[in-house]
Amino acid sequence: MISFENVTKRYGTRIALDEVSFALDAGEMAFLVGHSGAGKSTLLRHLVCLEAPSEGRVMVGNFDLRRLSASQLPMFRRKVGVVFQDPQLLPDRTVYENVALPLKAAGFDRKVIPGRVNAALEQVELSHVVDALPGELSSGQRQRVGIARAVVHKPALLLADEPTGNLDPELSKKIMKLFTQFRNHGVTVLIATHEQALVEAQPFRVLRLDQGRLVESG
Amino acid sequence: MLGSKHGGAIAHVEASREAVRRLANDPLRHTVGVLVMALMLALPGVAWVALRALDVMLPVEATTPGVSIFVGQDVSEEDISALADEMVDRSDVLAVEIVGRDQGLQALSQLAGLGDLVGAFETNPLPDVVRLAIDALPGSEQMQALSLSLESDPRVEFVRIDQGLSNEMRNALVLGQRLVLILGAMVLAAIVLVVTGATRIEVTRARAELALVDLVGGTQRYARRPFVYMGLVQGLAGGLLASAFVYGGAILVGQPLSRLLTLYGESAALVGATPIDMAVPVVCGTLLGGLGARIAARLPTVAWT
Repeated sequence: MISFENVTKRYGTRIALDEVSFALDAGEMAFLVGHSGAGKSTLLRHLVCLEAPSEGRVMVGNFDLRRLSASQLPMFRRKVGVVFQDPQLLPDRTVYENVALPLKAAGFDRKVIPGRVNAALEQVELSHVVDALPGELSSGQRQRVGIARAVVHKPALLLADEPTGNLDPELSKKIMKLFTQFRNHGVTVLIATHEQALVEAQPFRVLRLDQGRLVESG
Repeated sequence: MLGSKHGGAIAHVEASREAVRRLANDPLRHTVGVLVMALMLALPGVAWVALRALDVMLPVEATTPGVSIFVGQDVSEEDISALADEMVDRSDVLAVEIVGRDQGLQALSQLAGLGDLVGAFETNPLPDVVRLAIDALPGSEQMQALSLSLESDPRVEFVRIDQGLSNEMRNALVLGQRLVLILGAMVLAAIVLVVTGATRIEVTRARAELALVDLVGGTQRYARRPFVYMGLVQGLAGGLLASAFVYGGAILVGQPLSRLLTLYGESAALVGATPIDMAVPVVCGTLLGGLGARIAARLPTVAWT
Protein backbone atom coordinates (compact mmCIF):
# COMPACT_ATOMS: atom_id res chain seq x y z
CA MET A 1 0.00 0.00 0.00
CA ILE A 2 2.76 2.44 0.96
CA SER A 3 6.29 2.27 -0.36
CA PHE A 4 9.13 4.67 0.40
CA GLU A 5 12.16 3.99 -1.77
CA ASN A 6 15.36 5.77 -0.72
CA VAL A 7 13.49 8.97 -0.01
CA THR A 8 15.61 11.97 0.90
CA LYS A 9 14.15 15.38 1.66
CA ARG A 10 16.36 18.45 1.92
CA TYR A 11 15.44 21.98 2.90
CA GLY A 12 18.49 23.88 1.72
CA THR A 13 21.38 22.21 3.49
CA ARG A 14 19.20 20.65 6.21
CA ILE A 15 18.26 17.01 5.65
CA ALA A 16 14.77 16.21 6.99
CA LEU A 17 14.57 12.66 5.62
CA ASP A 18 17.67 10.70 4.80
CA GLU A 19 17.32 7.77 2.40
CA VAL A 20 14.20 6.43 4.08
CA SER A 21 12.93 3.11 2.73
CA PHE A 22 10.05 1.01 4.02
CA ALA A 23 6.81 -0.56 2.86
CA LEU A 24 3.40 -1.03 4.48
CA ASP A 25 0.95 -3.61 3.20
CA ALA A 26 -2.72 -2.87 2.65
CA GLY A 27 -4.61 -3.25 5.92
CA GLU A 28 -1.44 -2.98 7.98
CA MET A 29 -1.17 -0.66 10.97
CA ALA A 30 2.11 0.91 12.08
CA PHE A 31 3.44 3.58 14.39
CA LEU A 32 5.89 6.21 13.26
CA VAL A 33 7.89 7.25 16.30
CA GLY A 34 10.76 9.57 17.05
CA HIS A 35 11.63 12.73 18.90
CA SER A 36 10.27 16.08 17.93
CA GLY A 37 12.02 17.12 14.70
CA ALA A 38 12.93 13.53 13.77
CA GLY A 39 11.01 13.87 10.47
CA LYS A 40 7.66 12.21 11.32
CA SER A 41 5.45 15.03 10.04
CA THR A 42 7.67 15.50 6.98
CA LEU A 43 7.21 11.84 6.14
CA LEU A 44 3.44 12.08 6.53
CA ARG A 45 3.37 15.24 4.40
CA HIS A 46 4.95 13.24 1.59
CA LEU A 47 2.06 10.78 1.75
CA VAL A 48 -0.52 13.46 0.91
CA CYS A 49 1.66 15.28 -1.60
CA LEU A 50 2.24 18.32 0.57
CA GLU A 51 5.93 17.65 0.04
CA ALA A 52 7.85 16.12 -2.84
CA PRO A 53 11.00 14.10 -2.18
CA SER A 54 14.33 15.61 -3.18
CA GLU A 55 15.40 12.10 -4.14
CA GLY A 56 13.74 8.69 -4.17
CA ARG A 57 10.18 7.60 -4.83
CA VAL A 58 6.95 7.43 -2.81
CA MET A 59 4.21 5.05 -3.94
CA VAL A 60 0.71 4.85 -2.43
CA GLY A 61 -1.33 2.07 -3.99
CA ASN A 62 -0.77 2.45 -7.71
CA PHE A 63 -0.01 6.16 -7.46
CA ASP A 64 3.58 7.27 -7.98
CA LEU A 65 3.28 10.53 -6.09
CA ARG A 66 6.03 12.25 -8.09
CA ARG A 67 4.06 11.74 -11.27
CA LEU A 68 0.66 12.90 -10.06
CA SER A 69 -0.81 15.63 -12.25
CA ALA A 70 -2.73 18.56 -10.80
CA SER A 71 -6.00 16.97 -11.84
CA GLN A 72 -5.07 13.58 -10.33
CA LEU A 73 -4.11 15.05 -6.96
CA PRO A 74 -7.66 15.60 -5.61
CA MET A 75 -8.62 12.09 -6.74
CA PHE A 76 -5.64 10.66 -4.88
CA ARG A 77 -6.33 12.64 -1.71
CA ARG A 78 -9.87 11.28 -1.61
CA LYS A 79 -8.33 7.89 -0.89
CA VAL A 80 -6.51 9.20 2.17
CA GLY A 81 -7.84 10.30 5.56
CA VAL A 82 -5.82 12.57 7.85
CA VAL A 83 -6.17 13.05 11.61
CA PHE A 84 -4.35 15.96 13.24
CA GLN A 85 -3.25 16.53 16.83
CA ASP A 86 -5.56 19.55 16.81
CA PRO A 87 -8.57 18.27 14.87
CA GLN A 88 -8.90 21.61 13.04
CA LEU A 89 -12.68 21.63 13.02
CA LEU A 90 -14.41 24.62 11.48
CA PRO A 91 -15.72 26.51 14.51
CA ASP A 92 -18.77 28.00 12.80
CA ARG A 93 -20.01 24.67 11.41
CA THR A 94 -21.89 21.96 13.24
CA VAL A 95 -20.42 18.53 13.85
CA TYR A 96 -22.51 17.23 10.96
CA GLU A 97 -21.22 19.91 8.58
CA ASN A 98 -17.64 19.32 9.64
CA VAL A 99 -17.87 15.60 9.03
CA ALA A 100 -19.73 16.08 5.73
CA LEU A 101 -17.01 18.38 4.36
CA PRO A 102 -14.87 15.69 2.62
CA LEU A 103 -17.95 14.16 1.00
CA LYS A 104 -19.17 17.50 -0.34
CA ALA A 105 -15.68 18.44 -1.48
CA ALA A 106 -15.36 15.13 -3.29
CA GLY A 107 -18.66 15.66 -5.08
CA PHE A 108 -20.57 12.79 -3.45
CA ASP A 109 -24.23 12.41 -4.28
CA ARG A 110 -26.11 14.65 -1.83
CA LYS A 111 -28.54 11.83 -0.99
CA VAL A 112 -25.69 9.62 0.23
CA ILE A 113 -24.10 12.18 2.51
CA PRO A 114 -26.45 12.06 5.57
CA GLY A 115 -26.17 8.28 5.82
CA ARG A 116 -22.38 8.36 5.53
CA VAL A 117 -22.02 11.13 8.11
CA ASN A 118 -24.32 9.46 10.62
CA ALA A 119 -22.50 6.15 10.19
CA ALA A 120 -19.12 7.80 10.80
CA LEU A 121 -20.43 9.59 13.88
CA GLU A 122 -21.85 6.31 15.18
CA GLN A 123 -18.44 4.69 14.80
CA VAL A 124 -16.91 7.31 17.07
CA GLU A 125 -19.97 7.26 19.37
CA LEU A 126 -20.95 10.87 18.76
CA SER A 127 -24.38 10.54 17.17
CA HIS A 128 -25.88 12.60 19.97
CA VAL A 129 -23.85 15.76 19.21
CA VAL A 130 -24.58 15.98 15.51
CA ASP A 131 -25.94 19.54 15.69
CA ALA A 132 -23.41 20.84 18.22
CA LEU A 133 -20.73 23.36 17.35
CA PRO A 134 -17.10 22.33 18.03
CA GLY A 135 -16.85 24.89 20.82
CA GLU A 136 -19.53 23.00 22.74
CA LEU A 137 -17.55 19.74 22.75
CA SER A 138 -14.80 18.37 25.01
CA SER A 139 -11.30 17.92 23.57
CA GLY A 140 -11.85 14.14 23.33
CA GLN A 141 -15.11 14.63 21.48
CA ARG A 142 -13.51 17.11 19.11
CA GLN A 143 -10.75 14.63 18.33
CA ARG A 144 -13.31 11.94 17.61
CA VAL A 145 -15.18 14.32 15.27
CA GLY A 146 -11.83 14.83 13.52
CA ILE A 147 -11.48 11.06 13.17
CA ALA A 148 -15.04 10.74 11.85
CA ARG A 149 -14.21 13.41 9.26
CA ALA A 150 -11.05 11.50 8.29
CA VAL A 151 -12.89 8.20 7.70
CA VAL A 152 -16.30 9.36 6.44
CA HIS A 153 -15.27 8.95 2.79
CA LYS A 154 -13.92 5.43 3.54
CA PRO A 155 -10.26 6.05 2.72
CA ALA A 156 -7.87 3.23 1.94
CA LEU A 157 -5.12 4.93 3.94
CA LEU A 158 -5.50 6.69 7.29
CA LEU A 159 -2.70 8.95 8.51
CA ALA A 160 -2.62 10.39 12.01
CA ASP A 161 -0.17 13.00 13.26
CA GLU A 162 0.03 12.91 17.08
CA PRO A 163 -3.70 12.10 17.37
CA THR A 164 -3.59 11.64 21.14
CA GLY A 165 -1.22 14.51 21.90
CA ASN A 166 -3.87 16.59 23.65
CA LEU A 167 -5.74 13.74 25.34
CA ASP A 168 -5.56 12.02 28.70
CA PRO A 169 -4.45 8.32 28.81
CA GLU A 170 -7.99 6.99 29.04
CA LEU A 171 -9.15 8.91 25.97
CA SER A 172 -5.95 8.00 24.16
CA LYS A 173 -6.78 4.31 24.61
CA LYS A 174 -10.26 4.89 23.17
CA ILE A 175 -8.80 6.65 20.16
CA MET A 176 -6.29 3.84 19.60
CA LYS A 177 -9.13 1.35 19.78
CA LEU A 178 -10.88 3.24 17.01
CA PHE A 179 -7.78 3.11 14.81
CA THR A 180 -7.56 -0.61 15.42
CA GLN A 181 -11.17 -1.01 14.32
CA PHE A 182 -10.46 0.81 11.08
CA ARG A 183 -7.45 -1.39 10.50
CA ASN A 184 -9.66 -4.43 11.08
CA HIS A 185 -11.91 -3.15 8.30
CA GLY A 186 -8.95 -3.20 5.89
CA VAL A 187 -7.77 0.40 6.20
CA THR A 188 -3.99 0.92 6.20
CA VAL A 189 -3.16 3.03 9.26
CA LEU A 190 0.03 4.99 9.95
CA ILE A 191 0.18 6.90 13.24
CA ALA A 192 2.95 9.36 14.07
CA THR A 193 3.45 9.73 17.80
CA HIS A 194 6.12 10.37 20.38
CA GLU A 195 4.18 8.60 23.17
CA GLN A 196 6.29 5.53 23.81
CA ALA A 197 3.85 4.03 26.33
CA LEU A 198 1.04 4.10 23.83
CA VAL A 199 3.13 2.35 21.21
CA GLU A 200 4.35 -0.33 23.59
CA ALA A 201 0.76 -1.18 24.55
CA GLN A 202 -0.08 -2.04 20.94
CA PRO A 203 1.02 -5.11 18.97
CA PHE A 204 1.75 -3.21 15.78
CA ARG A 205 4.84 -2.49 13.76
CA VAL A 206 7.06 0.44 14.72
CA LEU A 207 8.97 2.70 12.31
CA ARG A 208 11.48 4.75 14.26
CA LEU A 209 12.96 7.94 12.85
CA ASP A 210 16.05 9.64 14.27
CA GLN A 211 17.26 12.85 12.67
CA GLY A 212 15.59 11.92 9.42
CA ARG A 213 16.99 8.38 9.25
CA LEU A 214 14.84 5.29 9.65
CA VAL A 215 16.59 3.40 12.44
CA GLU A 216 13.94 0.76 13.14
CA SER A 217 11.30 -0.70 10.87
CA GLY A 218 10.46 -3.97 12.56
CA MET B 1 -21.25 7.10 -5.15
CA LEU B 2 -19.63 10.14 -6.61
CA GLY B 3 -22.22 12.57 -7.79
CA SER B 4 -22.10 15.33 -10.28
CA LYS B 5 -18.35 16.03 -10.44
CA HIS B 6 -18.85 19.46 -8.85
CA GLY B 7 -20.61 20.71 -11.95
CA GLY B 8 -24.20 19.86 -11.12
CA ALA B 9 -26.86 22.39 -10.30
CA ILE B 10 -26.90 21.35 -6.63
CA ALA B 11 -23.21 22.12 -6.25
CA HIS B 12 -23.79 25.59 -7.71
CA VAL B 13 -26.77 26.19 -5.45
CA GLU B 14 -24.67 25.16 -2.44
CA ALA B 15 -21.85 27.44 -3.54
CA SER B 16 -24.33 30.31 -3.90
CA ARG B 17 -25.69 29.65 -0.42
CA GLU B 18 -22.16 29.55 0.89
CA ALA B 19 -21.42 32.87 -0.82
CA VAL B 20 -24.50 34.48 0.73
CA ARG B 21 -23.55 33.04 4.14
CA ARG B 22 -20.11 34.59 3.89
CA LEU B 23 -21.58 37.92 2.81
CA ALA B 24 -24.01 37.82 5.72
CA ASN B 25 -21.15 37.22 8.15
CA ASP B 26 -19.89 40.76 7.61
CA PRO B 27 -22.81 42.75 6.18
CA LEU B 28 -21.44 46.23 6.91
CA ARG B 29 -18.15 45.68 5.08
CA HIS B 30 -19.80 44.08 2.09
CA THR B 31 -22.52 46.75 1.90
CA VAL B 32 -19.88 49.47 1.87
CA GLY B 33 -18.07 47.56 -0.87
CA VAL B 34 -21.24 47.35 -2.95
CA LEU B 35 -21.92 51.08 -2.48
CA VAL B 36 -18.38 52.00 -3.54
CA MET B 37 -18.73 49.81 -6.61
CA ALA B 38 -22.12 51.34 -7.45
CA LEU B 39 -20.79 54.89 -7.21
CA MET B 40 -17.77 54.03 -9.34
CA LEU B 41 -19.92 52.42 -12.01
CA ALA B 42 -22.49 55.23 -11.98
CA LEU B 43 -20.01 58.06 -12.44
CA PRO B 44 -19.03 57.36 -16.08
CA GLY B 45 -22.58 56.17 -16.78
CA VAL B 46 -24.17 59.48 -15.78
CA ALA B 47 -21.46 61.48 -17.58
CA TRP B 48 -22.00 59.45 -20.75
CA VAL B 49 -25.76 59.94 -20.66
CA ALA B 50 -25.33 63.70 -20.10
CA LEU B 51 -22.90 64.04 -23.01
CA ARG B 52 -25.19 62.10 -25.28
CA ALA B 53 -28.12 64.27 -24.20
CA LEU B 54 -26.07 67.35 -25.05
CA ASP B 55 -25.18 65.89 -28.43
CA VAL B 56 -28.80 65.04 -29.22
CA MET B 57 -30.29 68.30 -27.97
CA LEU B 58 -27.84 70.70 -29.54
CA PRO B 59 -29.08 72.43 -32.73
CA VAL B 60 -27.80 70.74 -35.87
CA GLU B 61 -25.92 73.88 -36.93
CA ALA B 62 -23.93 73.80 -33.69
CA THR B 63 -22.31 70.50 -34.50
CA THR B 64 -22.54 70.34 -38.31
CA PRO B 65 -20.24 72.37 -40.54
CA GLY B 66 -22.05 74.68 -42.91
CA VAL B 67 -21.62 76.99 -45.85
CA SER B 68 -23.41 80.31 -46.33
CA ILE B 69 -23.77 81.31 -49.98
CA PHE B 70 -24.38 85.03 -50.27
CA VAL B 71 -26.25 85.60 -53.50
CA GLY B 72 -25.86 88.71 -55.62
CA GLN B 73 -28.42 91.50 -55.17
CA ASP B 74 -29.67 91.25 -58.73
CA VAL B 75 -30.23 87.50 -58.76
CA SER B 76 -33.89 86.54 -59.14
CA GLU B 77 -35.85 84.30 -56.76
CA GLU B 78 -36.07 81.65 -59.50
CA ASP B 79 -32.29 81.59 -59.82
CA ILE B 80 -31.92 81.35 -56.06
CA SER B 81 -34.35 78.40 -56.00
CA ALA B 82 -32.44 76.80 -58.88
CA LEU B 83 -29.20 77.25 -56.98
CA ALA B 84 -30.76 75.68 -53.89
CA ASP B 85 -32.04 72.76 -55.96
CA GLU B 86 -28.56 72.20 -57.39
CA MET B 87 -27.20 72.09 -53.86
CA VAL B 88 -29.84 69.58 -52.72
CA ASP B 89 -28.65 67.21 -55.44
CA ARG B 90 -25.09 67.21 -54.12
CA SER B 91 -24.18 64.11 -52.14
CA ASP B 92 -22.05 66.04 -49.63
CA VAL B 93 -24.87 68.42 -48.70
CA LEU B 94 -27.09 67.34 -45.81
CA ALA B 95 -29.62 70.17 -45.83
CA VAL B 96 -30.33 73.36 -47.73
CA GLU B 97 -32.14 76.41 -46.37
CA ILE B 98 -32.90 79.67 -48.17
CA VAL B 99 -32.74 82.66 -45.86
CA GLY B 100 -34.40 85.53 -47.67
CA ARG B 101 -33.00 89.05 -47.25
CA ASP B 102 -36.11 90.20 -45.31
CA GLN B 103 -35.84 87.22 -43.00
CA GLY B 104 -32.14 88.00 -42.51
CA LEU B 105 -32.83 91.64 -41.65
CA GLN B 106 -35.49 90.63 -39.16
CA ALA B 107 -33.11 88.18 -37.50
CA LEU B 108 -30.42 90.83 -37.36
CA SER B 109 -32.86 93.27 -35.74
CA GLN B 110 -33.77 90.77 -33.06
CA LEU B 111 -30.15 89.84 -32.46
CA ALA B 112 -29.12 93.48 -32.12
CA GLY B 113 -32.19 94.38 -30.07
CA LEU B 114 -33.19 97.05 -32.58
CA GLY B 115 -36.90 96.63 -33.16
CA ASP B 116 -37.21 99.36 -35.86
CA LEU B 117 -34.17 98.36 -37.89
CA VAL B 118 -36.39 97.06 -40.67
CA GLY B 119 -37.99 100.48 -41.15
CA ALA B 120 -34.66 102.31 -41.02
CA PHE B 121 -33.65 101.29 -44.56
CA GLU B 122 -35.36 102.26 -47.73
CA THR B 123 -34.11 99.12 -49.36
CA ASN B 124 -32.86 96.03 -47.56
CA PRO B 125 -29.06 96.04 -47.88
CA LEU B 126 -28.71 92.34 -46.95
CA PRO B 127 -28.32 89.68 -49.65
CA ASP B 128 -30.33 86.49 -49.93
CA VAL B 129 -28.46 83.58 -48.44
CA VAL B 130 -28.51 79.86 -49.20
CA ARG B 131 -27.32 77.96 -46.11
CA LEU B 132 -25.93 74.47 -46.53
CA ALA B 133 -25.33 71.85 -43.88
CA ILE B 134 -22.35 69.82 -45.07
CA ASP B 135 -21.71 66.12 -44.60
CA ALA B 136 -17.98 66.60 -44.14
CA LEU B 137 -15.48 67.17 -41.39
CA PRO B 138 -14.82 70.87 -40.74
CA GLY B 139 -11.65 72.04 -42.40
CA SER B 140 -11.54 69.14 -44.78
CA GLU B 141 -10.44 69.52 -48.37
CA GLN B 142 -13.99 68.69 -49.45
CA MET B 143 -15.25 71.91 -47.83
CA GLN B 144 -12.57 74.01 -49.52
CA ALA B 145 -13.32 72.45 -52.91
CA LEU B 146 -17.04 73.15 -52.52
CA SER B 147 -16.34 76.75 -51.54
CA LEU B 148 -14.10 77.33 -54.57
CA SER B 149 -16.57 75.80 -57.01
CA LEU B 150 -19.41 77.92 -55.62
CA GLU B 151 -17.44 81.14 -55.85
CA SER B 152 -16.99 80.63 -59.55
CA ASP B 153 -20.79 80.63 -59.99
CA PRO B 154 -21.97 84.04 -61.40
CA ARG B 155 -25.04 84.05 -59.13
CA VAL B 156 -22.84 83.93 -56.04
CA GLU B 157 -21.42 87.09 -54.44
CA PHE B 158 -19.27 85.31 -51.90
CA VAL B 159 -19.11 82.15 -49.85
CA ARG B 160 -18.47 81.79 -46.13
CA ILE B 161 -17.56 78.51 -44.46
CA ASP B 162 -19.34 78.35 -41.08
CA GLN B 163 -17.34 75.95 -38.97
CA GLY B 164 -16.11 77.94 -35.96
CA LEU B 165 -18.89 76.91 -33.60
CA SER B 166 -19.27 73.42 -35.03
CA ASN B 167 -15.54 72.88 -34.68
CA GLU B 168 -15.56 73.87 -31.04
CA MET B 169 -18.70 71.97 -30.18
CA ARG B 170 -17.63 68.84 -31.99
CA ASN B 171 -14.18 68.89 -30.42
CA ALA B 172 -15.64 69.54 -26.99
CA LEU B 173 -18.05 66.62 -27.35
CA VAL B 174 -15.35 64.28 -28.64
CA LEU B 175 -13.05 65.37 -25.81
CA GLY B 176 -15.83 64.82 -23.29
CA GLN B 177 -16.63 61.37 -24.65
CA ARG B 178 -12.97 60.36 -24.61
CA LEU B 179 -12.59 61.56 -21.04
CA VAL B 180 -15.60 59.50 -20.06
CA LEU B 181 -14.15 56.45 -21.80
CA ILE B 182 -10.82 56.91 -19.98
CA LEU B 183 -12.68 57.39 -16.71
CA GLY B 184 -14.73 54.29 -17.48
CA ALA B 185 -11.63 52.19 -18.15
CA MET B 186 -10.04 53.38 -14.91
CA VAL B 187 -13.22 52.65 -13.00
CA LEU B 188 -13.43 49.14 -14.43
CA ALA B 189 -9.85 48.44 -13.37
CA ALA B 190 -10.52 49.93 -9.94
CA ILE B 191 -13.57 47.71 -9.47
CA VAL B 192 -11.56 44.60 -10.25
CA LEU B 193 -8.99 45.72 -7.66
CA VAL B 194 -11.65 46.50 -5.05
CA VAL B 195 -13.31 43.10 -5.47
CA THR B 196 -9.96 41.33 -5.57
CA GLY B 197 -8.96 42.96 -2.28
CA ALA B 198 -12.29 42.22 -0.61
CA THR B 199 -12.29 38.60 -1.77
CA ARG B 200 -8.69 38.14 -0.70
CA ILE B 201 -9.67 39.14 2.83
CA GLU B 202 -12.41 36.50 2.76
CA VAL B 203 -10.01 33.89 1.40
CA THR B 204 -7.49 34.70 4.12
CA ARG B 205 -10.22 34.38 6.74
CA ALA B 206 -11.21 30.99 5.32
CA ARG B 207 -7.61 29.80 5.07
CA ALA B 208 -8.06 26.89 7.48
CA GLU B 209 -11.20 25.74 5.71
CA LEU B 210 -9.59 25.97 2.27
CA ALA B 211 -6.59 24.02 3.51
CA LEU B 212 -8.93 21.30 4.73
CA VAL B 213 -10.87 21.23 1.48
CA ASP B 214 -7.60 20.89 -0.38
CA LEU B 215 -6.41 18.09 1.88
CA VAL B 216 -9.62 16.05 1.67
CA GLY B 217 -9.57 16.08 -2.12
CA GLY B 218 -11.67 19.09 -3.02
CA THR B 219 -10.75 20.56 -6.37
CA GLN B 220 -9.62 24.16 -6.66
CA ARG B 221 -12.75 24.87 -8.64
CA TYR B 222 -14.87 23.59 -5.74
CA ALA B 223 -12.91 25.67 -3.24
CA ARG B 224 -13.00 28.83 -5.35
CA ARG B 225 -16.61 28.68 -6.40
CA PRO B 226 -18.23 30.28 -3.30
CA PHE B 227 -15.75 33.17 -3.49
CA VAL B 228 -16.35 33.72 -7.18
CA TYR B 229 -20.10 33.71 -6.49
CA MET B 230 -19.51 36.23 -3.73
CA GLY B 231 -17.83 38.52 -6.25
CA LEU B 232 -20.64 37.96 -8.74
CA VAL B 233 -23.31 38.75 -6.13
CA GLN B 234 -21.47 41.87 -5.00
CA GLY B 235 -20.93 42.95 -8.61
CA LEU B 236 -24.57 42.34 -9.46
CA ALA B 237 -25.75 44.32 -6.41
CA GLY B 238 -23.33 47.15 -7.19
CA GLY B 239 -24.41 47.12 -10.85
CA LEU B 240 -28.12 47.26 -10.00
CA LEU B 241 -27.54 50.15 -7.62
CA ALA B 242 -25.38 51.91 -10.22
CA SER B 243 -28.14 51.42 -12.75
CA ALA B 244 -30.55 53.22 -10.41
CA PHE B 245 -27.99 56.00 -9.94
CA VAL B 246 -27.63 56.38 -13.71
CA TYR B 247 -31.41 56.58 -14.09
CA GLY B 248 -31.69 59.20 -11.35
CA GLY B 249 -28.60 61.04 -12.55
CA ALA B 250 -29.93 61.22 -16.11
CA ILE B 251 -33.11 62.84 -14.85
CA LEU B 252 -31.20 65.29 -12.66
CA VAL B 253 -28.80 66.28 -15.46
CA GLY B 254 -31.38 66.09 -18.26
CA GLN B 255 -33.84 68.59 -16.75
CA PRO B 256 -31.50 71.60 -16.41
CA LEU B 257 -29.87 70.74 -19.74
CA SER B 258 -33.26 70.76 -21.38
CA ARG B 259 -34.13 74.13 -19.78
CA LEU B 260 -30.77 75.56 -20.86
CA LEU B 261 -31.31 74.62 -24.47
CA THR B 262 -34.85 75.98 -24.39
CA LEU B 263 -33.27 79.40 -23.75
CA TYR B 264 -31.56 79.11 -27.14
CA GLY B 265 -34.86 78.42 -28.83
CA GLU B 266 -34.55 74.64 -29.04
CA SER B 267 -37.36 72.27 -28.17
CA ALA B 268 -37.40 71.11 -24.56
CA ALA B 269 -37.25 67.37 -25.25
CA LEU B 270 -36.01 65.51 -22.18
CA VAL B 271 -33.29 62.96 -22.81
CA GLY B 272 -33.01 60.20 -20.17
CA ALA B 273 -31.21 56.89 -19.68
CA THR B 274 -31.99 54.15 -22.20
CA PRO B 275 -32.37 50.46 -21.28
CA ILE B 276 -28.82 49.90 -22.54
CA ASP B 277 -27.53 52.69 -20.27
CA MET B 278 -29.20 50.85 -17.39
CA ALA B 279 -27.99 47.39 -18.42
CA VAL B 280 -24.33 48.25 -18.95
CA PRO B 281 -23.53 48.89 -15.23
CA VAL B 282 -25.30 45.65 -14.26
CA VAL B 283 -23.42 43.56 -16.80
CA CYS B 284 -20.08 45.27 -16.13
CA GLY B 285 -20.52 45.08 -12.35
CA THR B 286 -21.38 41.39 -12.40
CA LEU B 287 -18.59 40.40 -14.78
CA LEU B 288 -15.96 42.53 -13.05
CA GLY B 289 -17.07 41.26 -9.64
CA GLY B 290 -16.66 37.69 -10.84
CA LEU B 291 -13.30 38.45 -12.45
CA GLY B 292 -11.92 40.18 -9.35
CA ALA B 293 -13.04 37.34 -7.14
CA ARG B 294 -11.63 34.77 -9.54
CA ILE B 295 -8.24 36.45 -9.40
CA ALA B 296 -8.30 36.60 -5.61
CA ALA B 297 -9.64 33.13 -4.91
CA ARG B 298 -6.45 31.19 -5.33
CA LEU B 299 -5.95 28.46 -2.80
CA PRO B 300 -3.46 29.26 -0.08
CA THR B 301 -0.65 26.89 0.68
CA VAL B 302 -1.81 24.16 3.00
CA ALA B 303 -0.17 24.20 6.40
CA TRP B 304 0.20 20.93 8.24
CA THR B 305 -0.22 21.51 11.92
